Amino acid sequence: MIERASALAARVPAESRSDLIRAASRGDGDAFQQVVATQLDRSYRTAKAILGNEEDARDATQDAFVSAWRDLAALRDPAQFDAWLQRIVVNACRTILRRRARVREIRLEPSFDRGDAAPALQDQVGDTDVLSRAFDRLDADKRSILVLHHLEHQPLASIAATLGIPVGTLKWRLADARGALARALVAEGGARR
Amino acid sequence: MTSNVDRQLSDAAIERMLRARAAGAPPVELAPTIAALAREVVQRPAARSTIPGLRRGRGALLLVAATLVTGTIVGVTIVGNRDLSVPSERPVAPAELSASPASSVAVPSVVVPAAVPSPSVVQSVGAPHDFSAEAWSGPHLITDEIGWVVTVASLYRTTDGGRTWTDTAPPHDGPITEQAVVDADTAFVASSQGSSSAIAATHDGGASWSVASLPVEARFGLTLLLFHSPLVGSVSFYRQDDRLQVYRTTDGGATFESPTIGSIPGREKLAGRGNGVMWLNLGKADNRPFDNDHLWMSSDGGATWQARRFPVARWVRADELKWIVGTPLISGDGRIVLAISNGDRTGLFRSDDDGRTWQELTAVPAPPGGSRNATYRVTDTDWVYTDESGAPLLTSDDAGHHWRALMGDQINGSDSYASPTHAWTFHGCSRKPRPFGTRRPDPWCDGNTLASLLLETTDGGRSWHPLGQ
Repeated sequence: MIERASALAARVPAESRSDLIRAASRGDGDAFQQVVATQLDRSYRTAKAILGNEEDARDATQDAFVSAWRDLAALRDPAQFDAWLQRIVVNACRTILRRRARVREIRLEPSFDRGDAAPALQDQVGDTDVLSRAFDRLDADKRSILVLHHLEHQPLASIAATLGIPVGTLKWRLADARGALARALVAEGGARR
Repeated sequence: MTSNVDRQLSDAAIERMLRARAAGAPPVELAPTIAALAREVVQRPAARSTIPGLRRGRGALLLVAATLVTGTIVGVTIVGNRDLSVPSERPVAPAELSASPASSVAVPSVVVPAAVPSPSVVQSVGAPHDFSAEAWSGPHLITDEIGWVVTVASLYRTTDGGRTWTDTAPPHDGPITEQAVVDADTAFVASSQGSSSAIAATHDGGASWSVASLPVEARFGLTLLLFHSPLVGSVSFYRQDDRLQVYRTTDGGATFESPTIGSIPGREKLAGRGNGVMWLNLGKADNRPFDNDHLWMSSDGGATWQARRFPVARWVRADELKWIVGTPLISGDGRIVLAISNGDRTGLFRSDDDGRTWQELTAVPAPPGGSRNATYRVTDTDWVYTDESGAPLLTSDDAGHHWRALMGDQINGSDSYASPTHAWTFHGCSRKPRPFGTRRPDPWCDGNTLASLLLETTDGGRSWHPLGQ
């Protein structure tokens, strides 16, 4: 999937891509569709990594692109489009996580039984599934930082631009997110005992 | 245990986990769906008006008011902390009040579910923002740190006293027709597109929005939002027959129930709305003195109307034309404070019995053409009265029982008070040369090149300064 997105993006030269974004910002729907085609895989991948399921990822991606279309005229520099769109995607994920948190709050039963036997911690660390469940315990900001850094391999400056925070703050938050993931992993193990 | 986890929680393990979570191509229908939705969504314009009509009209008023600063100060009849409560010369007897709700016709009940919350698009997170060229419609200072600024295009929110701002980017279909700020976290935005109208609501300071779609067109582009609290309020629309179609909500805009058709008494015209109420204009717009008419007010979005008596002023003839200025204040225990004007003076009145009898609190001379836009702010028991005549600000710390004047800078603005001492106002700068006779130059406008300035006071209006300075 990553390769497919990269190939699509590579077929669109930087100059014509800027032209496409400018045209889309003037209301050209066809140009916007081409922009969507180059960014859809990446945006969906980011959303799915943050949210963890197809349905929410589809909703977040869809909402993000519609919002991007609506507000594209406000984007002055087409070169900033990627970071701008990424921010919208992350915000869409935030919104869905908030909604999901509210729903979860309603549905949880007080007698929820977490008494399953847990595997040894050493086994859990190598267990992607357990790590993924630990990741689900993190808030939207921590998930976003880890996804942009460890999955998208974006430079710190780019992630900072996407999240609208200074690079120094990002470094601190990245370390904090990793620490939170470690604690969540411990908690996930405890919850399964 | 934790060190063991840290040691084994490698970059590779995290990446492997994230790749597994992200695995899978987007659904094939996603791109066409986005394209279809984009065709239905209107793009927001990039440029915002630098000198909006709102500002131009307001600026003209301010210019007129500025020329009369001297005269308005001289005529004020209040000094220091003196009790301003003066009984009305002709109190209205309680028996004269005939409060009867207007008939309303219920239409089949329809619960309109809220749409899926739309994505929050924060375009400028915590960034300084210059509102001088914005087409604003009001500042809302909620606490010393939290405030909103409403522009024609968006809602901005600050949590650090105005040093930085976040564009909360409320979702909307079509032009934004009205916005309502309720408290630090709650705001509503109405927009209309074709035969439907969308009401967006946020209850977390604009971090997220939900949208309810109502199957009604905003005739004349008018959507009337009235909220008494974050949860209870109404959205009203003009119908072709000049009646009002009222949707009420009791869950903060998540759902709207039973559209009701409100019959406006005498088929009069709406005069204004604010502070959770609407009132009818039986004065200037219809060129009718209101002494013999009722003061019609509605607190349910125009579904029903209650009749009260208009206050009677000693300084104006019974048959003389006069009208309400500013926004009446109505407390839950029957207290009403409102201002009326005849063009020469503006009088502030208080009723403690739900409009049966009135006391005239003060009368302030108005500039030629009449005083405009008297405004109020309620914070529990702290009430503030000001107008654009440049007169001293009046404050009350006992819910309108007693008032005192504050002498200081004569700001002509529509103010918003977080407390009796801390307030914001938008101050309009005129591009025209200063008129002869102006006592002092405008200390805030830079060569009259700015459209407006957001000013702050922290001493109850005695002095003002540009926000952030």
